[in-house]
Amino acid sequence: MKKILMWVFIFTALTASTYGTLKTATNDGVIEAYAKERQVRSTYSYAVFDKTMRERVHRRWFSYTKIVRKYEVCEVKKQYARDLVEDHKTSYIGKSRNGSMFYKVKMRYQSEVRSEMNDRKCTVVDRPWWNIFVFNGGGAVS
Amino acid sequence: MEKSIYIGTLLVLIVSGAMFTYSLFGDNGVWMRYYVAYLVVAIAHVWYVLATLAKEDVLPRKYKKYDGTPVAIIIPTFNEKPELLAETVRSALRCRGNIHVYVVNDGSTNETDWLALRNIDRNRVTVGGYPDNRGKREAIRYAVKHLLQDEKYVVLTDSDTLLDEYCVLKLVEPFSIPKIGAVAGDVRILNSEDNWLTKLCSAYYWIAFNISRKSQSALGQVSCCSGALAAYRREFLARNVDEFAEQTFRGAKCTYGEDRHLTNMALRDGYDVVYAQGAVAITDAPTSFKKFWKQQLRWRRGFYQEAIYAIPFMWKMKPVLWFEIVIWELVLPVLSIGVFLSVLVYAVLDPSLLLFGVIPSLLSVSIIRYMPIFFYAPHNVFRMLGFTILSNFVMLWQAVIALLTVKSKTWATR
Repeated sequence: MKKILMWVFIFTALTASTYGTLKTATNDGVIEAYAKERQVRSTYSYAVFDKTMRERVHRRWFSYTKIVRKYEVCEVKKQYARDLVEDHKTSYIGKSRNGSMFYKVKMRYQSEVRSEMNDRKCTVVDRPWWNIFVFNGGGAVS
Repeated sequence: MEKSIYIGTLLVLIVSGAMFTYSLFGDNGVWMRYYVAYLVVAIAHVWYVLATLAKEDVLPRKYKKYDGTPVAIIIPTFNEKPELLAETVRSALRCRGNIHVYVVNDGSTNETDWLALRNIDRNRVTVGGYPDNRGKREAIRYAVKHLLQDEKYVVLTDSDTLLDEYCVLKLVEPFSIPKIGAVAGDVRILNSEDNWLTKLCSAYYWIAFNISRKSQSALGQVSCCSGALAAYRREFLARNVDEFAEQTFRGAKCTYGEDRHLTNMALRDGYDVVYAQGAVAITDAPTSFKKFWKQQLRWRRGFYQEAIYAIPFMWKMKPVLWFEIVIWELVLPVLSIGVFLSVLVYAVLDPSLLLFGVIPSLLSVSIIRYMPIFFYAPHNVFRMLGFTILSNFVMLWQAVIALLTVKSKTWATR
């Protein structure tokens, strides 16, 4: 009975992690247009990809909120995001506690949106890469 | 055929590197598709491993009790420390069962007292050998052809490996099922508390045997019966030992990977190969990183060599194992090189990502992949996490070196 419970627990955790991984992996890239300075991109890029995970990162690992407040770009982002949604190039994902909003971009529009974002001096946040180690193959013991 | 498969694997490596380069300068969308495909295959592998492991854990195979059938324990040795060799022989003699120990001197030049070794138990120890060093394959062939008496099962072990009292019983019990031709034992580390490296290795070994092999055992297709502890049917060995001893890889005689090769031959002959949990042997792990690197490099080369050997026939004999070898063991780790490179680029651009992104993600992935360790070997949890770091930041690159130098004949650990 203990063994069965153990395996139920393991497969529950595996299901949750699989769901989370595939969900973020198929988001087709997440855009956030809150920053004007592109050089800070790598500092927070991995924090912004999925609502649940974002909040988790937000709380535990570093102060994402401070970064957002520092650049005060919510309005810039909102305006631009509205354009994108109207063009059906993005869809709304969620809103952070500080009012910043998050959108995912359809794959086929990615290059176009990225280019447009660059023209507007906004930051493109890449696909979350911090889960790409997931299940990265095995080793061999002889 | 071997050449084509080898070139194919190199091409996968090149594709992985090309995708990495393209992700830096080209269309991000292409990289995303590559990444998602990689991820789906990788996740499928973890599901497969944990599902088969659960089956083996909850519904293990049942075997008849050992019936007293004679068992041979073959210990090939080359310049082993005399005290350690004697202790290995004593530990083998302490094993329960109707056993006889055969020590094969593979051209040792040290001061081993062979007579004293035989005198440990003259009725149950036979010492044989030849003056020149020919390698482990030849030593096994010599024992099978010239030393064995009426034994039906053969246990192969190393000269620096100590056997647990019940080890032989557990190893040969699966032979009560005629389809089982080879059995892998559970090898653990003797010097696990020596230093940080041996501590990490103890978790590495635990995972390799109690997750990887146990999972493969569910379908009777363990891909490697470790040279440190394995059992075979004598009839199988007698039939194949010449071919085994004379194996070549792309024209050169093989000097490593003999354990994987013997296992592959058993699978090729239609046998099931299983893992015997509880058949425990302990062996020394390398205490310096240099030795560890060399050992792992040799194992990796052996792994590639044998994967290439097995692909042509494994599809017919064990299709699931074929898929595992081709996709999950041969292609996926090579593909991950490009993925990992791109992460390192990000990490170099912003080192804090290492601390807040890369390392936490690596650890969380390992926790999911190896979750049974929390229940069965909790003392190894932190060591497993440490090995994860070592494995991804250092050992991953060894796969590339091993692939490119797979024909090297360096023995490397001695």
